[in-house]
Amino acid sequence: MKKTLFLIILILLAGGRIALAYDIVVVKSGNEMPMELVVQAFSDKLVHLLPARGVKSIEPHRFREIDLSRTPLKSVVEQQIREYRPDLILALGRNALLAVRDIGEIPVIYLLVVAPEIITQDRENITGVKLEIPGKLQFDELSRLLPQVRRIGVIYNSEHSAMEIQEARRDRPDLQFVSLSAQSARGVPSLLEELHGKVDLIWLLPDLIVTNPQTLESYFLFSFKNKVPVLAFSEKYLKSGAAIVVTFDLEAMGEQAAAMAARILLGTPVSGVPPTEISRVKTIVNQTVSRKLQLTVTEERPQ
Amino acid sequence: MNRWRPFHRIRESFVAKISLTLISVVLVLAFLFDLMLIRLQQKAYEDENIKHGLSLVRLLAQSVRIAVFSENKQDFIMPVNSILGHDDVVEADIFNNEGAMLFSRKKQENSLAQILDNPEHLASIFKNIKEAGEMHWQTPNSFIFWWPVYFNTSPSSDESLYFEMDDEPPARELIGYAALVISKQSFSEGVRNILINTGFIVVCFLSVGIFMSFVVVRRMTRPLSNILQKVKENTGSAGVRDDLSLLSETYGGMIQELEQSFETIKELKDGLEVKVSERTRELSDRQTQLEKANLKLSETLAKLQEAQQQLVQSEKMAAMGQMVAGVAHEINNSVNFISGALPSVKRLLGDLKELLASYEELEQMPNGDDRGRDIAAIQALKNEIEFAEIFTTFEQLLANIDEGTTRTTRIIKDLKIFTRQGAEKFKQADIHSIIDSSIPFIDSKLLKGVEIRKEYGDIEPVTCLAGRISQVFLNIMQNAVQAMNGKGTLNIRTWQENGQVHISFIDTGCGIEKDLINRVFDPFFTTKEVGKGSGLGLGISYDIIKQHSGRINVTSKVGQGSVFEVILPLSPPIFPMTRES
Ligand SMILES: Nc1ncnc2c1ncn2[C@@H]1O[C@H](COP(=O)(O)OP(=O)(O)OP(=O)(O)O)[C@@H](O)[C@H]1O
Ligand SMILES: [Mg+2]
Repeated sequence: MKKTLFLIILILLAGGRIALAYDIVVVKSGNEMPMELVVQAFSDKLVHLLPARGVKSIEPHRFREIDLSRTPLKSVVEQQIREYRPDLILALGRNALLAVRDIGEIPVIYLLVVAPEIITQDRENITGVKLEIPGKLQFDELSRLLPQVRRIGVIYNSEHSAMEIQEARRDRPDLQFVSLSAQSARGVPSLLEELHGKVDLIWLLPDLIVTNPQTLESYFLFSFKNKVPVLAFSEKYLKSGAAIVVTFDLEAMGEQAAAMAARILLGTPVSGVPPTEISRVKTIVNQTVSRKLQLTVTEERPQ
Repeated sequence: MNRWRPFHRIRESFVAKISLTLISVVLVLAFLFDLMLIRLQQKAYEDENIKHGLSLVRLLAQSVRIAVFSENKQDFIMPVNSILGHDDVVEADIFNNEGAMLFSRKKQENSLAQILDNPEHLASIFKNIKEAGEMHWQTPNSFIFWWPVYFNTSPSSDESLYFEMDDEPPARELIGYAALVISKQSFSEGVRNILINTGFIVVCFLSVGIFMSFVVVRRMTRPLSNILQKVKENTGSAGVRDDLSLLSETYGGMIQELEQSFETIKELKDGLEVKVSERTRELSDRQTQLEKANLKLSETLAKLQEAQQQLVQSEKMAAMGQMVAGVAHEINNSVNFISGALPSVKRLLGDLKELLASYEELEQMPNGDDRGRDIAAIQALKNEIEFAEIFTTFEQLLANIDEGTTRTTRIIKDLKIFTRQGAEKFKQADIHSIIDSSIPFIDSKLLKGVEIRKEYGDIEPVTCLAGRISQVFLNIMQNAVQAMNGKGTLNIRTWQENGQVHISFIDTGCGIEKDLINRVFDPFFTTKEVGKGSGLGLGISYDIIKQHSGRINVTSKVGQGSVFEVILPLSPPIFPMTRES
């Protein structure tokens, strides 16, 4: 009698494992980026989308981590992944994506990678969420918070970030974009002087030539001197002096990736799940700075 | 005392010498100390100025870095002006990393002109700054400070645009140099102030110090001065020499004397050892002699004890004799009353017989004229024998006889108590009656001018050998009466205290000398003439009182009198029922 019962439980367990739990390897570029938060959001969402029915508590999805700051060799990472034989790889950051891009048939989902297309180059097993923040989303938030802003000053590099200016002009014809092209960082301070009195806001672009530690000070110096707020694209700039930051929501990104992973794990080919832009942004107003710049922020979305 | 000696004595006075030496040492030290202090302060002040200058030039380098980066002349104006706002800053120059001057502003003529005109010199300066991180030097009227201008370099990855990169240290790049010229005007003023202040403080301390050391030296050398004075007095007024040489001479002499003294002590010590061994031998000889003497003494003691025993016996006999004498005298007295009365009684009886015979004659005669004549004759006889007083006299004589018999009876009764002593038993007895019955035995010749006062207190009967106790009292009273030599008062006082009866005999006699008071109880101790006292009275009394577990205390003052206090327990603790043997 007891033996039969034990056997039934064993069979159930074995059956449950085959049918419901997935092996996922998480490859992290390092610790400095807010990886934990993304991974947490990803795994929570995945469990929600693909619940391990009945025996969930005994055998949930298995997550295994490879930290590149501890295992920096690409070959070693590939070797480990082959041993694990995972159902899916989650690559966090540029270096992680570089490490797993040649893994072959195992599906890869990337997160937190700037310009991933340069790395993936049409590999069919790789998809993910792009890090870029669409200009349109930024200006929607801006209009909501500072509806009086019309003239937007921006310094760009004609080789790298001309596209962004074009798209912005196209998306928001109601705004006036005063754009100046800089050939190098050295030119930024004097170009900023030219913007004096012509703009209501400075738009910071994610372009290393015009936005870097050498030029940042000039932007914020200009901002304080002329009482013109800076709109930035990462929380990183809040403490330097940006008045408003419209940036990605790490949790939303994790959940987005989980949704893609669920579709792939349930059988959709990777090519059928194309890379996506982020769908939700997070807006933060630096209260201290906005008070100093005498801005009247109409409303802040509750976080 | 002449405190401030005439000036010409200064050279001779050692006080002055010490003071002068001390003061000159203090002066030299103070001068050196002053120099050192000024040097240190100057150095500290200079360091402070250099530090200040370096922080200023660093501030300048920091604030112009955007301007240097963008090489925009306009951007230099504000930061440079704010630095030149400092009073002593007279010039600021900014160069890019290729050595080209980007900006220069000055308040005075160009102090850096020489350097700036010499590109090679300038290049070497830049090289130095690159290596050391800063550079500074001084010219006669200014400090010159250099500081490199750094700027953060571009990040390496796109990700750093979005995230803080912890592991990459913020890289920086040398983009230029900043120079600052600071005038020495207020610095020299500061140095001058330091000189003045330090000098003033040192002078103040010095004057106080000199005064104090002079006072202290005077104080401390006062005893020495006194010695010196004495030495001078002793050696006569040859003291024209100076004090110090005199002192050293005196000390030299003293040391020599001390050495001699030690020499003598050493010799004495050596002699002493010999003497000690001699003495030790002598002492051991003495000891053997003493032991022999001791043996003899103990033999003598045994003999003496024997003699004492015999004497005690003879004392008893003597006491008995004394007592018998007393008793005889008493009885004689009492008998005198009777025998004194007898002749008068006889004479009166004769008279009465004659009178009665005359009456009988008259009865037998017939009545006649003769009868009248006879009656007249009888009348005459009555007058002759004082017939009227005859019975009164008779009664008086009978009273005398009665007194004589009573006294005799009493003496006999008392004697009974006294004689029964040998076979006596411990019995409860009234101390007062024991005292009373002892008094008659005191030598009546001595008692004549003596008053006996009794102050009897309330006491309970005492368990004792009444005869022996009576002997003690008699002895004490006899001594007291003897001491008073026929004139004085003997006070007998009794009282009870803590279960003990105190009997105190207070006389106004000659008293006992202090050193003898401890010896009065010694057997054979007496101060009386040979034949009068045996010296055993108090000794025996002491034994008797001890037998009753009591004590005798003596206090006495020569010329005033003595107090003998007998203290007896109501009953002796170990109660010997019979003490026959
Ligand atoms: N009351 C007193 N006043 C002065 N001296 C006293 C008195 N009683 C005793 N002494 C001294 O003490 C001595 C010793 O007395 P103790 O009675 O023993 O001997 P004694 O009277 O000399 O001789 P004894 O009693 O044998 O006849 C006496 O000689 C006398 O000097
Ligand atoms: Mg006597």
